[in-house]
Amino acid sequence: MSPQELLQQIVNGLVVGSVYGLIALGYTMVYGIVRLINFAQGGLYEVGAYLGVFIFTLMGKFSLQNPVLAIAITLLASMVLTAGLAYLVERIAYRPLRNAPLLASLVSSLAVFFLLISLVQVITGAQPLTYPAVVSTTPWHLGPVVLSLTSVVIFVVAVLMMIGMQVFVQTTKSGKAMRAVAVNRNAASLMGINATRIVSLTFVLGGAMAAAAGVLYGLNYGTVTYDMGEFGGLVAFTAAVMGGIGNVPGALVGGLTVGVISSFASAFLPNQWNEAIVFGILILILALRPQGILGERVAERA
Amino acid sequence: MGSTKSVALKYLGALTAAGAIAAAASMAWATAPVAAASQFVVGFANPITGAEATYGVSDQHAVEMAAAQINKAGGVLGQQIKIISCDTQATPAIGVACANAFVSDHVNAVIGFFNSSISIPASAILHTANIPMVTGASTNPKLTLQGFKNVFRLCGTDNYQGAVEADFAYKQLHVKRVVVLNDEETYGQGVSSFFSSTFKKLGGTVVAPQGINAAAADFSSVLTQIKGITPAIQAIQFGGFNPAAGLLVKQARALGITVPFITDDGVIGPLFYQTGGAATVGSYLSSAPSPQDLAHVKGASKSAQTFLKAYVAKYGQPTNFAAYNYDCLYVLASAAKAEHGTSARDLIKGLAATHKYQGVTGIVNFNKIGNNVTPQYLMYKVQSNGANKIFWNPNA
Repeated sequence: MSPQELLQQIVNGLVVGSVYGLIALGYTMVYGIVRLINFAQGGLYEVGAYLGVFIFTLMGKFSLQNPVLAIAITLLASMVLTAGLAYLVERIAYRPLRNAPLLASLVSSLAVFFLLISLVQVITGAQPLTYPAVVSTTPWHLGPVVLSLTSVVIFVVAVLMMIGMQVFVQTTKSGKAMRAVAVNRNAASLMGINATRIVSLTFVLGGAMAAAAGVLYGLNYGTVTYDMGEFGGLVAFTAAVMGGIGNVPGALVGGLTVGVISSFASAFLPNQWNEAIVFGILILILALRPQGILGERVAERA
Repeated sequence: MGSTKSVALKYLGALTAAGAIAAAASMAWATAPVAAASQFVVGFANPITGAEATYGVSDQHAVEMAAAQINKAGGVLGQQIKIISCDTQATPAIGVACANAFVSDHVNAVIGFFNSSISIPASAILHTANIPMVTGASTNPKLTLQGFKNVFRLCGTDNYQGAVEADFAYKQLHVKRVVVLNDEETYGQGVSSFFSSTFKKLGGTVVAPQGINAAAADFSSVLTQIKGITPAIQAIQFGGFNPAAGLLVKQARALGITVPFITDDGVIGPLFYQTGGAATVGSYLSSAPSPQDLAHVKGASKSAQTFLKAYVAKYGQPTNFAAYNYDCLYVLASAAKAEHGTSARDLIKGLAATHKYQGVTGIVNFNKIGNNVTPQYLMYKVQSNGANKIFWNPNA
């Protein structure tokens, strides 16, 4: 492999890994607070991507031409709407099970995951939808590496969101409350923290991250399919575990790691080996560092 | 394995499988009403939902249209045709459940299944139950090589399609080094492997043949690797479906790979241009003649135009296998008439004896193993407006 190819493969991996990392943020936040693997995250990611298509198309109708503005509005609108959906999901599918064994919530999250994916298919049909080409997809040649505007946007947005989330959790009052709830929900309630509201907030933030991942994915690849949430959701789950579930920067690190590993796996071996390699390395990492690359839960970092 | 479900199966095996069984069970209930004696019941199984639903829905419309026409003209030996539809979701587990449902419904015959990966296991069930099966879309050669007397195929086969692509690449495009990719499904692997064997026989070189994960939608690593191959490759051949094909060619062009892109009739259709955009322009696709182009085929009749007009008036533009599925029902009806009976024995005997039947897709002649010997493949080229135009006719 030439150095030029090596560099290109790393870039390929970072772009796709950023999307996984954003979805993984949602897994990791929810796990950090309520110790639940929220499989609905994959469904929210897909819904976010589809909302993005509709909002984008709608803006085309109002002949909004500025691509930066169009992306920003679509991203925000889809994040807000998906966050709302995540709130409803929490309210309907998890809150009633708050005092049931965690396994019940886990099954409930799988149900929501399949429900969201099926709903997308029922509403939009099985045909893949395409994002309007508002952003130039002309490749940039940056030295030996080929890049596109959207791939840079994906990476930058993912890093910014991760930093924002970390700052939020570490410095704001709500973030502090979140960490308190993560340590001990009952004790936090006794201290006057509205734990129910904090749990809701966590789900809402996770939904917003998933939507951002969905819109960015759609922008970059141009096509969204009703089953994209299956693959994206599950790979992101792997990423969250790899990075250290419960750890905010770990989600992005995990996502990028999975992206780069699978990129190199496809480069050296026939593609059939791709998932075997990714999971092989996951097992290796977990055997050496059971807590994941960065380890620790949100709370324990306090 | 259907690409859409395979990922979920890998990770959540038992769970998804349970879901599939549940879906199949509810389906079996839905189709439960059993045939009255005065009806000619045909089971129709295609992907009505899922990633490949575009084709399945179009095929279903064609079969329904044929049924309505035959019924209006008095039915099959006085019996009205009743279609029992079953959605395979392009997933083998569900498709096989469809076959089982048809057996318990005592259907006279089955039209289907779209995906070769379903048709092959489902044919074994229908063979055991001795139910005639005619497919208008499954092109994997293995289907008719199992020695099942009840299985017939109206459409062409992958070996012929792959061979036409290889012939075209070597003799028309004059390329000698080709990268061969497939989506790891029975159909895509079939076309690609027959492309490879023919291309090598002609004297060409096949480089780095491999499968790609259609669910991942990001093929940039594979393409980066292809770009780095020395000496440079001269064309890419891909066996599979959309949207993988559109995304693949789009990402290849974005990386600066400009060699010709050759693919198959799993890809041909508006979705290819929608997903790949301008990058798809100039791609070459092998396909049986589209319903719109049937007139270019030897032996095609005026009925092709009549079919197209009637279909477009009712449902819009048909996809590529619609006319074959339409012919499937007519060939079944003609077999029943020839044998004066609608039992499985009569139908299988009648189908096997089908000789020079004039269908909308051309003249139908089944050979000993149940393949229609007539279907022809053409090479299409994607135009700048996304339309497909006949580029090369090997039979001309």
